[in-house]
Amino acid sequence: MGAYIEGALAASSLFSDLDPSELEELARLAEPFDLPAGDLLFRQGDRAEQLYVLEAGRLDVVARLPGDREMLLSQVGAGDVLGELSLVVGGTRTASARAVETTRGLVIGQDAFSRLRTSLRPTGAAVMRRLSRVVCARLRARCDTLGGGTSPGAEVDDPGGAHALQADDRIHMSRLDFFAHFGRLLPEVASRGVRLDVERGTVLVRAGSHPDRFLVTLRGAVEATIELGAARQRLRLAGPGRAPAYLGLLDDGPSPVVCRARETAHLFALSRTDFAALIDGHDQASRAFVDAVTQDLISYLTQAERRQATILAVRP
Amino acid sequence: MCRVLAYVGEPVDLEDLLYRTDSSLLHQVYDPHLMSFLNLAGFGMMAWDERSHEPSVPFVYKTAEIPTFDRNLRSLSGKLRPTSLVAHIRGVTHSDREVVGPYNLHPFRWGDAPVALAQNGTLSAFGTMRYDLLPYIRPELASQIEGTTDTEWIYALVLSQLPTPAAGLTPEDYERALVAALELIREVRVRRKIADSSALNLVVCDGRCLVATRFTYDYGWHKDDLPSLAQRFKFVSLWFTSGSAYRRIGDEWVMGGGEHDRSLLLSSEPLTSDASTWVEVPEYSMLTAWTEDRVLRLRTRDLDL
Repeated sequence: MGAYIEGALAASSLFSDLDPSELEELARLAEPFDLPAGDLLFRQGDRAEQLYVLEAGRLDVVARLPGDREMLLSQVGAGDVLGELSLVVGGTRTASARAVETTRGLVIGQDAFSRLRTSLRPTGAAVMRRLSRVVCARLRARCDTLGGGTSPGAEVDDPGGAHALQADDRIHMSRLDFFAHFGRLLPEVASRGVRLDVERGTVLVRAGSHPDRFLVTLRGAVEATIELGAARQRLRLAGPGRAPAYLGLLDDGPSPVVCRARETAHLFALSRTDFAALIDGHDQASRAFVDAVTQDLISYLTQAERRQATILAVRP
Repeated sequence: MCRVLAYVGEPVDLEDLLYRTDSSLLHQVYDPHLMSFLNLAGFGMMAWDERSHEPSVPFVYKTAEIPTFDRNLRSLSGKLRPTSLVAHIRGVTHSDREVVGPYNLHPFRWGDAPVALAQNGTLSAFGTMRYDLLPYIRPELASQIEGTTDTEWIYALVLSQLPTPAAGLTPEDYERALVAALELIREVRVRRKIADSSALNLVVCDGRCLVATRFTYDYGWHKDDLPSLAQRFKFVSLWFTSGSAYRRIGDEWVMGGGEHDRSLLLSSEPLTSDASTWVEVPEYSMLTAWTEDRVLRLRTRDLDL
């Protein structure tokens, strides 16, 4: 049974980077489950206490809408992991999962996942890094559903000169959600970036392009929109402590969204190279950075799903 | 600070909305879920019932007391099944510089004005800019301002943008008036060099339709970079749910399904801890809802102001 469970974990999208000893350790904490077609694996609004690794079968992941309707978010099957996002950010399930056909897999409890995630061993960071890419892929799929394109849209504006971060900027950064848990690592991370001051309306990322820098709003706001001709659908409003653009930076495809300053803004900017170095690094600064990116990406995905729900709720 | 609730649609038990759900409006006086604040500066409501005498004139109830302890309100709410509603609990900083009293209670509606207005938000440095709004307010309306709130001034400003005479107004008339008012306020802010984040979630209602904004000037800018921890740079919330009618189905309060949506509930935060059937009004947008032959019409539009 142990080898069987380890094999199932190794084949999953989230745990494939674990070494054999860690797979063995995680396998000891996993329990198998079977779910008949039509049954719920979990319900939207339930407390999030477990994640699920799917071995076989298929589930619809759905979100409720007003008026007793629902929205299909995705279909998942063998190798997919489910329910892990709520464990990272805490709280309740943001969707329900219902078996389309008989489904079996493994259940891993919250404590086991938390220990793995916060482990000082390299694989803790590897799991979070892999999770960030899983969330990025889901976000891209959400953009595709909403009509996000990769055809070149508005051209990028020159935001003007970059400034060195001032002392009050660093103090301000420490209060923002993205940087709040960096602690003594913040000066090191901050030193790798600059401050960009942009006017309202400045285009920072063009649809169809690969962003050349990673941005976090310090003051003001940047919006990420899907542009369909003259119409714009806002996917994310990145206020202070939020990043407007991950797609095209964290994954290989081009950005499907346009990022534009919705307000005059101060932005923390990291070069593409420095962003990659932090994401792929193995020191403590990298671990903190990957953790922050993953949490912010989850909030981005949640915002995008809520936006889609609103669009569907305002039906003609 | 403040919580607002609005409704249009099928007759609804007012007591359900004010008291019975686990995050009802009066529950939000002391335990709102999307903010950490006690909203202790009073309550106001205007409720329309198509079946009542003079249906265009709402039932009005206001109290500057903490509404949680108000037996009259509880009794009244058990008797009303309005088809349209705006209700508001007022939250102010807990300071002796605040003015808590009857003239500062929302919603505002003067005389035979067609529409009532309530707000969740605050204009930064309003004391500096208040009188700059006077040129844009009709004199006969300006003379009716009695309180100290920015909301009452905004109400006067919105009324001044409506066509006269104010009869047969359409949802588009209210939308245009709100947009015009927001643009004028922005002009004054720019002139006065006021650039602090200022949320303006406005709700106007005339008993047949409601129009609401989820809007903030200079979002993300705070003069001392120190918004309260409770706010944490959030865009002030506004949610809605829609369906056939709002009621308890099994162990949950939801809008029922059906061939057509007939009712809309709009609120600063969902009226239930389980928010799975509520959706957010997008930031920087306007929502308009009305019914035609008991079918709900609903639209949102971006406010690129």
